[in-house]
Amino acid sequence: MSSRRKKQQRRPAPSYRAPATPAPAPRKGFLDSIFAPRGPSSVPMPKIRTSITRGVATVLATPALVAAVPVVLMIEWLLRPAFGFQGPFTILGATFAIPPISTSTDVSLASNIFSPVGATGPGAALAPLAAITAFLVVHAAFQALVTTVAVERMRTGAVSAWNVRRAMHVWPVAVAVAVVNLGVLIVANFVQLLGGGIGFVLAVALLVAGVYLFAFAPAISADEELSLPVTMSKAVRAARLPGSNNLTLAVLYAVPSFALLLAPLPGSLIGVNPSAGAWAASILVNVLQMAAVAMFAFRYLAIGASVADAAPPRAGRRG
Amino acid sequence: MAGIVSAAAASALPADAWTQYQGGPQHAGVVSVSPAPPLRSRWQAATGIGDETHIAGLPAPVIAGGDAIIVDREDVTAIDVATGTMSWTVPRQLGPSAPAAVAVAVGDGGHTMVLYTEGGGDRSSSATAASTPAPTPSGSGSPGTAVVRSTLVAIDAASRQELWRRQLTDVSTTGPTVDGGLVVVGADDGTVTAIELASGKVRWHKDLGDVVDTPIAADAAVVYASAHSNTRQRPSVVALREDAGVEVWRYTPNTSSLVAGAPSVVSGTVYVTLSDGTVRAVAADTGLERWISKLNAVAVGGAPAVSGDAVVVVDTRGEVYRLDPATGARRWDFALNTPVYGPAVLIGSAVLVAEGSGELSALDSATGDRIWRQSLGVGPLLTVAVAPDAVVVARTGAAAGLVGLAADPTGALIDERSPTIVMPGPLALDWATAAIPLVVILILAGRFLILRLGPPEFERDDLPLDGTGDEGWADDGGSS
Repeated sequence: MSSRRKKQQRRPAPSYRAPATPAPAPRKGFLDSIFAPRGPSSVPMPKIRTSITRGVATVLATPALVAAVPVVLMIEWLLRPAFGFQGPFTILGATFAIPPISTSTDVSLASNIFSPVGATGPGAALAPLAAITAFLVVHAAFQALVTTVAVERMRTGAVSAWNVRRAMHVWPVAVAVAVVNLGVLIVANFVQLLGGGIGFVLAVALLVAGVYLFAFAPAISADEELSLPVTMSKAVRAARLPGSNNLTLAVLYAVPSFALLLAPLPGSLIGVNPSAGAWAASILVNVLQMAAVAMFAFRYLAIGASVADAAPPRAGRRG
Repeated sequence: MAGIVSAAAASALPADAWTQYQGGPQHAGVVSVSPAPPLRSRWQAATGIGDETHIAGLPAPVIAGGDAIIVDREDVTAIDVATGTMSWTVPRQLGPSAPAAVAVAVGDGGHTMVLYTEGGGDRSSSATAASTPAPTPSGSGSPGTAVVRSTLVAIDAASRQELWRRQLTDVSTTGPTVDGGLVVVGADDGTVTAIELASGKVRWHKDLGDVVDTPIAADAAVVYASAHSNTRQRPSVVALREDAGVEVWRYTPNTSSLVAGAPSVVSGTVYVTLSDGTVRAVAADTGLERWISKLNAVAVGGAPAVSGDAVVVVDTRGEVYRLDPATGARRWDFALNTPVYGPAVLIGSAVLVAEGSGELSALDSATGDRIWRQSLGVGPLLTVAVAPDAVVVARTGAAAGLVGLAADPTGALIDERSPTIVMPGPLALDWATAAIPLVVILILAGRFLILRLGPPEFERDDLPLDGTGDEGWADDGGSS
């Protein structure tokens, strides 16, 4: 990027952007956004097909992202047998996934490797809990970086070293999204105790909800200067924009992503020497996961101006 | 039948004979005299063990007098190990297939007896029969109709004449275990019944309170039964004295597991697998836990095979593990990556594993490498029995029956390492083979796509990102 172009792109300090709507009284916590009335019904949300195309194009047009996938996968894979993990290799298919897809594999892996043999009680949970935390933080960093690169790419048409510093800003939000989705996973596990089809359907619905409500948060953090609670709150409001088809998109993303983790792809057997086919499948799946991250970033950038930083007051509530 | 029963009632059979589930009452699954791989298939004999679900018990052949004896759903059949021809068959009340036992009762002519359970109804995938337990074992029950309680039957191996029968209190899938002059058998209502081998009289009857549905092990005048609950409670291994059924100890592991597999007992230690993916070693005299070893998957398919220096278990995903009997440390593992339903068997320096894919594999017990494999045709393999000059495998599915194998002097061994061993060269080569062309293709596709699509247009494109990173957002005072 030329210095002239950079100058042209600089925005006036100190405020990044003016509020798009008059700021109402701030609410407490992002949960208010879940239960608050929906925002305006007419939003310029791109079509699902357009979003998918843009997400794929953004990632594929960024060689650094594409090249990073096999490198990261190889590093992650080499570390796992060192801890006694013997497969299946397909668990790496969620390395660049959006929570709770990535969160579920983090939990599964941490439990598999770090659960102490024969121990029960709170003490027994410490090692897997620490491992889950470590996995969440690392994968949140991946998500932050991919989101930031995608946002910069879509905003400027190029990628610079800036996004690494910006990713540090996005990272805490990505961690928060992962932690919230960890809670969603725990609830989903309890819901499955209902048994049969109902338990399963409710569990899947919860996982879809995790994607639906929080998938925009990293993109918001990459694009705007907001505190963590406001970012999370705004992500929920952006997701709930009427007519946006975000729920459909969340279903279209989450259900196949979970199915892919269970599918008999190459590498789904026990073994630590994945075949070329298994590597190819995992690389492709992770590029698609990156594309999903970019897709949500694209959709947020398209409608970010229509989403207020704070939830509108509820009808009947005073003040 | 007023025979005098001694503690050495079964001594007339060779010590190395495969007369019960996993060889003998200890369930060690070890023989020293057997054909060594490579093997070749010599015969196949059809029998009625085609219940593919096997929720109704796991057929396991035993060998006596040159015959392999298998308990079918509605027959007990003996196949000549040398030729594969049927030696005899007797009808049996419809019920779960469970291992038979062969024993010799001293006194009253010293019958070589075949013991098996019958009745209990159809518990296959299409089963609808429900059990109605009776309070105590009785002598009632007659062949010809399906009943919902099992009966332990003893027949003379030579004449197939019935010697005695004893009805149990519920359906049984454990099969009988003979130790000395005693036969023990478990039932789904949680009872263990001990019956005198020669007379068929009930010596004692013990209610363990949970389901007992895996073969019971016995050694040194103590029997060891795995019991699990239907009410989400932890499983147990219970030790009972053979003389009176007194409970010696009860081992209830500290686990979230719900099911325990069949135990084996060797050299003063009881080994058992749990559905939490662990193997536990417990002192046979005290019931105190000696060690726990973690596996990669659930392994409740059968009793661990145990020799002096190896404990071999197979998990349900087909990974075979050799553990140190003293510490539980893993010596090696081999991922077969096919379902395995039955236990492994140790023959000489090899571990034999019958695979759900229809293959029989032999692993080197020292290194864990696969040294031989052969497909035995269509249908999952279940269990293995070993005679001095033959290996007999039970197979289910469309071609259900037994397959006999013998040593193949002209056959060749292989040397196949487990896929769980990292091989850096092939690993790097496969990675590069996949990654390099794929990344190039994807990047080229991306360039094409972005040229076609052009840059995205957003509502506020006048507020782009700052590419310098030196000012802007970092100075805005926002926090996250």
